Amino acid sequence: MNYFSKLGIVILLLLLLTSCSSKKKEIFFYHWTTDFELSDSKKKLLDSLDSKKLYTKFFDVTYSGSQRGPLPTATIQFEDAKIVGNTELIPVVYITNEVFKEMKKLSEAENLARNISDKIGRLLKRYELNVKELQFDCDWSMATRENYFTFLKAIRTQVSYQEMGKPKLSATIRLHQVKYKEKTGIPPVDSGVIMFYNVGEVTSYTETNSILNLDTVDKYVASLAEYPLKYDVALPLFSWAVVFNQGEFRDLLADVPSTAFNQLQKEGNYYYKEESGVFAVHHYLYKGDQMRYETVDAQLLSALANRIKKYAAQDFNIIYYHLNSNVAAQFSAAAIQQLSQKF
Amino acid sequence: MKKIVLLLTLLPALLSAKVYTFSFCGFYYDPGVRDILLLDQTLISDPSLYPFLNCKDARFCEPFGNASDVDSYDNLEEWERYFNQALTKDDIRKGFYHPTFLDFDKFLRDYTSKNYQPKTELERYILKASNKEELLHYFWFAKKCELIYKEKYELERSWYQGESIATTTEDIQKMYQEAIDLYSKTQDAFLKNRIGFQIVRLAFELGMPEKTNELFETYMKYDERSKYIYYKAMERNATMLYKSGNKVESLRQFRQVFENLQDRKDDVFLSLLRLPMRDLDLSNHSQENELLHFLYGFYGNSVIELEEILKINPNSSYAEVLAMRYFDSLHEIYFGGSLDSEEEEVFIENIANVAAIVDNQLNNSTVKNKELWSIFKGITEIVKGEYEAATQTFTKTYNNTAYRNQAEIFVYAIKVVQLKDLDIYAMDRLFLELKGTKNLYGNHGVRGFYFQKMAQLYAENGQKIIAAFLDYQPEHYATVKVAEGDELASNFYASDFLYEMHKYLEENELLAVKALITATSKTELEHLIVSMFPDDKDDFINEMLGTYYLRENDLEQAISYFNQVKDPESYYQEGIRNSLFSIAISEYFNVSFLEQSDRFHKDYPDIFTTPEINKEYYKDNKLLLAKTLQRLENLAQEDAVNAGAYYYMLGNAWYNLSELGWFVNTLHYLNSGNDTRYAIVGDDDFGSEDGIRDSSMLERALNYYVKAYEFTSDEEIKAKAAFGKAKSEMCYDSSWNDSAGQRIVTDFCQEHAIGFEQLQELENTKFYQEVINECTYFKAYLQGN
Repeated sequence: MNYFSKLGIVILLLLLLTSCSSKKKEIFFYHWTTDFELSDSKKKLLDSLDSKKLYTKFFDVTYSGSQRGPLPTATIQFEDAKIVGNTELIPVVYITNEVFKEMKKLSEAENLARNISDKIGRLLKRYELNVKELQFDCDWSMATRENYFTFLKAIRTQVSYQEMGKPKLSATIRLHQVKYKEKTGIPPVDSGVIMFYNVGEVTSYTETNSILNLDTVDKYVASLAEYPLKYDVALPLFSWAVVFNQGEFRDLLADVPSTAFNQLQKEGNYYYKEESGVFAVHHYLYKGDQMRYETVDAQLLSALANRIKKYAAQDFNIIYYHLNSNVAAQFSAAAIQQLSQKF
Repeated sequence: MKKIVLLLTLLPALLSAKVYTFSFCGFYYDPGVRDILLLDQTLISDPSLYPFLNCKDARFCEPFGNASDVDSYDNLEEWERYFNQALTKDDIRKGFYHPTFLDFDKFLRDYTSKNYQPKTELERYILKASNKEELLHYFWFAKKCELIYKEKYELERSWYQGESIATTTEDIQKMYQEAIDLYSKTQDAFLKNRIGFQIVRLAFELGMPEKTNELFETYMKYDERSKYIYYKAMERNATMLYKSGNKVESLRQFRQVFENLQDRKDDVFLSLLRLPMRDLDLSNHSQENELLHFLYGFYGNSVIELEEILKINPNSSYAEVLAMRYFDSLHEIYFGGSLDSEEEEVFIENIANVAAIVDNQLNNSTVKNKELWSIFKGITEIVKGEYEAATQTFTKTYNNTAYRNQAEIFVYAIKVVQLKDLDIYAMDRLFLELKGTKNLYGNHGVRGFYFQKMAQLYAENGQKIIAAFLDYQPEHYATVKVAEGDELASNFYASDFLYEMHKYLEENELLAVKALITATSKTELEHLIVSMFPDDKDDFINEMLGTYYLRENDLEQAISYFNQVKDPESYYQEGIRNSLFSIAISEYFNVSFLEQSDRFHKDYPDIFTTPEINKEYYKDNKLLLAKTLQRLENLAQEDAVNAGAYYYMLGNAWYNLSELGWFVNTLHYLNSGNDTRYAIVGDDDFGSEDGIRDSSMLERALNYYVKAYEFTSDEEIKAKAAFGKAKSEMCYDSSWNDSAGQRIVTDFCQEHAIGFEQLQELENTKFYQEVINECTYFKAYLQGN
């Protein structure tokens, strides 16, 4: 047995020991809709799970061609932010990778940090909220790494960030960023959230489930063991329908109830309507449109749990995406609890 | 109608150097708004009330005060003083009003950066100021408050997207709280008052009457440096006092704002109009009572309210305004000669009352500005026809130069208005007096009135051409004061004449003009009139006379006058379009007439010897045209065998030259495409009196076609003449378009039916077939029969 084989055994043993001694997973959720909504049933769910954090998307930042720069969209609207109660609200800002791609110099990343920090600061002030963490969600690449990381570092230097009480920073991390960490880098934040969804090729006609494709996960998950940043894990609790026409990707229909597909014809993995018409109240399907319904269930998530558990080298908590989805509504608190403890 | 704009004289003597310049009623003037402008309305004592003077087409004579594009002069001046003149009004305007809230927001966030470059003088000033922070936060907040009224939607495309700032009550409530905090953090008294204003304004926007009143008392401190903003806050407070039920105090504060802020006068007026106060007991509030009567007089019965005001204060400035408005209208009605409309009768009915009011004022020893009331007295005497008394009133001694000048104008106007006949010497004497009197000649209103009257006298004596040339339209409307170096003749523009010359083709008128032009002795006025005709005066009138006789088919006379035109090239070209002697079954705008005509004239090369001209707007040689017509006429009489053909060509010529023909420009002086004469009265929406056939050319064409039909034995010519007859007849057929756009004629009028019937009898002719192919009307006729 050579040196490396011995090392492998040691690491495996350590992993097993870590797994055995892991503490109970804390369960959190993402809130991703623009109008902040926390119904009684959702509050009850959070209470039952003793869920202490709600990762709430505050706004998106996209590149505006007309303004030649990044601008926010879909800023959250609270009717009453106090309904959050004791749950800790964590602002999340989604930034498209294009924003960083379009930057010509690093100072633009610093400006972006100021604008985003100020905007979060204003929203917190307006809704009288205190936060302990800010999270940034961006599918950065090797090409945008420098700009994105400059942005993340610059956040900490903002006056408005200081005024918030210097909350800790976290960032979402896709599986390819875990696997190719040398190329894409480790974001300069306090912790990460490794996303175990949107792993497949959503626009590919041959894809079976782009939300959670275990074959794809398998290609990446082993790298988890070596990821140096403290992280939590984000899991999918949502569905969508992916529309194709003549094999070409057309649209994504979010959160369509599964029952809506009962009225459709099915061929292979795809649903279709024989004639053009309204589908699931809000959508319209053309003749020839085909839909792939993608979702997750307890079985699939359990299978994922096995894979993550096998490679995760640290304790982590679970954040489900997202609280207000139809899929989340199908899971009881007990089911979620049970599922979560498999990780 | 003469178009003389009423512009009021700016009398520097009545204006203080920096106070409110009078803005003319015609600031966005519409020429023709005022016909008469003899009374200088700025004779009233208080220049700040100029905007309330009589404006024909506007409620107020804009603007109030020296308002700039963004803010009042007074407010800018307060800031200028606050900045110790280190910034000009323009700097303030560009620094504060032009940037948006987002610009200020960026400034607030960026100014601490070492590399920050100030973008305006205001930013530069703020950065150097000892109270930089206070200034910066004040301006930022003030800009934010402006979002309540404007720009808030721009935020949706900024980093404020989705952050409701100035939209909901809750937003304003937050801003109100922010304002209170800012006030407490600010030390500078001037800025504190400014923030106080925002507090009051926000409370006002939140609709909190009692709270607004309380906040006004708490946060607004009057001092000379902050006068403007203090009264602006008071204006809002006054509205809220009314809402709290404290109406008298509300009125008292509105009055203070009215008196102290020029640029808020109109808004206060409008507020008071919407807040009923008629029932208030104002016995102990004479100033407020006076203002209310002014308001009611301005919008209602000025005479009744004038009386009420004078009972309170015989020296009231408001009374002068109401009286001036009344007399301005009265003098315009009288001198404009329109005393017969119902609206104007009201003025006349009131004359006795007003005369009594004026007499009372003149007999009241406490009245200070008696010279103004004396001017009013003179006007009442004029209107009553008491010219002698009026002249006496106006010739008494006036100490004030402005009133003296005004009196002199009315003395002159009385002389002008008394001219009843075309007495060229009396007219000339008044012209000489006008020219010789600086006060009269230097005033466009007086000049306009004189020439208007002269034009009227000429028109009444059948000389409309001269009247048209006396249309006084000064080009420089900025003031009634005639500019230095102004050439009198340059103020006339006979637009009515030049655009519709064919309407002036009357023998007597043309001969009268010719006589005036050729007269060896002329008065000064006549010299002026003649000088306004074109330089080649003889050719000008001879060409018109020639055209007149040509239209009348008096070819001998026409040729005689055209022969006298020394430089015919100025009026018409070398040849004529020979095709006007042929006929076209249909006339399409995109096909030349020659191409679509029957080219009948081509068979007579001995008559039409000049080259073929195929242009739509060619200026046909009228002399050659007259001669050709004359030759055809002679040939028709001399050559019985071919008479039908010659008459047919004459019929074609007159049809084509008529108001309905392709060659309409030749004898109509058309230089505008906007000619409605193609429309027959009642035929469609464009029909007007102008749509009536303005010549007898069509009847003449018809007569020639009749003759052609009778004289010819050639069936082709007969068929063409029959068609020409139907075409020249102006009578109505019943028709409409079907759903496919096809015209359906259900009932042909008799004249058309006769012509078509005659044509139908010639069904073997080639022309008949052509008509069937091209004339859907005729096809419809055949289908119906």
